[in-house]
Amino acid sequence: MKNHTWGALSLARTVDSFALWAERPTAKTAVVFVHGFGGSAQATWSEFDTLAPADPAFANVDLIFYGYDGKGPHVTESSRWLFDFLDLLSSHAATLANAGLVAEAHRDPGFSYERIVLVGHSLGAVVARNALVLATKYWPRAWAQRCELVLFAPAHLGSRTSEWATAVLSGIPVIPALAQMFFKVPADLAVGSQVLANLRSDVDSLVPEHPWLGARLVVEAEPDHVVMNGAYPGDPYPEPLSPSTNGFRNHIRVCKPSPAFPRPFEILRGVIG
Amino acid sequence: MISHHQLDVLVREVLESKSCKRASDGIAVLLEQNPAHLAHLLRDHEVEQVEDWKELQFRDDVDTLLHGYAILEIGFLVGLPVPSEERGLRRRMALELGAVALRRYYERYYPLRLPEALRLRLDGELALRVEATEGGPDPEAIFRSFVTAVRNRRDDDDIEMFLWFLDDGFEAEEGLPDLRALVASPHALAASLAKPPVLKSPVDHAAAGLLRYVEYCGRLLGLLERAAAYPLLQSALWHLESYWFSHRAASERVPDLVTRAIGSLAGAEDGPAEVEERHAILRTLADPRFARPLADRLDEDATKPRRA
Repeated sequence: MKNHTWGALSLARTVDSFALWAERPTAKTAVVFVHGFGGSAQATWSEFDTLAPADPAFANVDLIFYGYDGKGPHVTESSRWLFDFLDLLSSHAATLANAGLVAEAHRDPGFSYERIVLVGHSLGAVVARNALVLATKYWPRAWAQRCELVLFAPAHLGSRTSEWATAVLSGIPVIPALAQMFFKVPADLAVGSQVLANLRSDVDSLVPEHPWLGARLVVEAEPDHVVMNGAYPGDPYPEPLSPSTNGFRNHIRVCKPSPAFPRPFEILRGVIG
Repeated sequence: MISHHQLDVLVREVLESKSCKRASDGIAVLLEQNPAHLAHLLRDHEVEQVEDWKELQFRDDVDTLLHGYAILEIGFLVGLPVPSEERGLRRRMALELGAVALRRYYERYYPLRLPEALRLRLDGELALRVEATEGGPDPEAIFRSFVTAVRNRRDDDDIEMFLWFLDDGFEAEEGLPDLRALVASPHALAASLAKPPVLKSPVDHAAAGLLRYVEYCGRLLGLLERAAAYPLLQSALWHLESYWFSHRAASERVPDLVTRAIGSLAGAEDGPAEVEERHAILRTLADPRFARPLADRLDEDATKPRRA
């Protein structure tokens, strides 16, 4: 049974974003996937886009694979662009979906989501939470309260020294001496950076009254040689996953379900309920 | 609920680029005014070299058009509705794919099985179809993911530079020998990858493209494995990118470059296992078993008697 229709999302400042729109007009949930540094809308989430449409749990769920330039801009810019996208998705969901759906599956003009599940990987986790802080503290939006964060290998505690660059190289474990010599951590993600400190301070103060700023679920790669693992204000105890024994590769594969490693998909299915 | 609307969306995506329009317009004009010149433009380069840049661009445009047709054929295979006789799109496809010069180009000189399958479909001779199995993955979702991956690969300038080098192309006097030398040196490769974009030369782009291409191959193999329940779909998807896997020079050069590049980055301890993992992916993608289901169906059809 086919449940979804594919549609490109060619919007300003997005890169190769696409959606799988639920064909049932009863859809009220959107899952928005936000990739990390050097990732892409499709490759980072490899196989979510084939597994979810075939699973009945997602029959009423729009799946949105958000793509952006994850290398050049600062985290604050990327966060604002995601904020803009979520604002558009919340206010014009019917317009976006109907452009891809057949007439019989069109949504009413007043259609809006009851739930928006933001799934972020690595840098994408920081960008997603920062976008929610913008929608809570700086430019309050009602949709922020309907958001839930699901984070895979989040980079909110910073990335580990210059080994970060290996994430760009598809998990190839670079000789440490080479990495030290050539690859620099993006400044925004260095341990103790101003951006990360501001985010943590905001979340720390806001999360008691704005619980959506705390993650619904956190998955850590174990071991992870790219980002620091650890506790974060408002977040639950993380679930450790080990798709590989290699800490570089773990970081990249922790959000890529496959027949041999179905857990990431099971986790998301559990959240969707 | 695959519809004409979805077909229109796909057609916009794969057949309405400037390159496709140039190819279609050029074919239409030449078919009417000078079919012999069209045949000359689409000649076998082994017989007569193609060096004029206008000729090269036209052939490049035709390749893009054929790629679009190949994607459409897989779309029809997974259930997109074939446009009716009255629609201009169908007439255009039939005219272009049926043109003698074009058929010779994609069936004899540079065999491409998907445009051939589409021509047979439009001629009413062979309408291949893949039906979803109960509880199995959605063939259209696999098709969409595959097409998205291929489009991202084609839009990636670094990968394009790498593939250009692989095909013996040169840019600013840099080419495959320079790439080989660069990736063999750990220091030079790491320095190249760490350069800011404005300082990168063609060989730097190709080195980054090599690593991303290898990652892309892993993703394609994952999607092909997901399509294992549908051998015909799996084969059709493979045929869409088969040039890079089955082309002899590429299939020999890529593993060598991978050995050098990953060996350089990962070092003596991790290198061999990392290299072997990528080699295994490349070996699997080059396996001719993927070619057979679609090729066999087309070859079977070719032996059937035709209407007089």
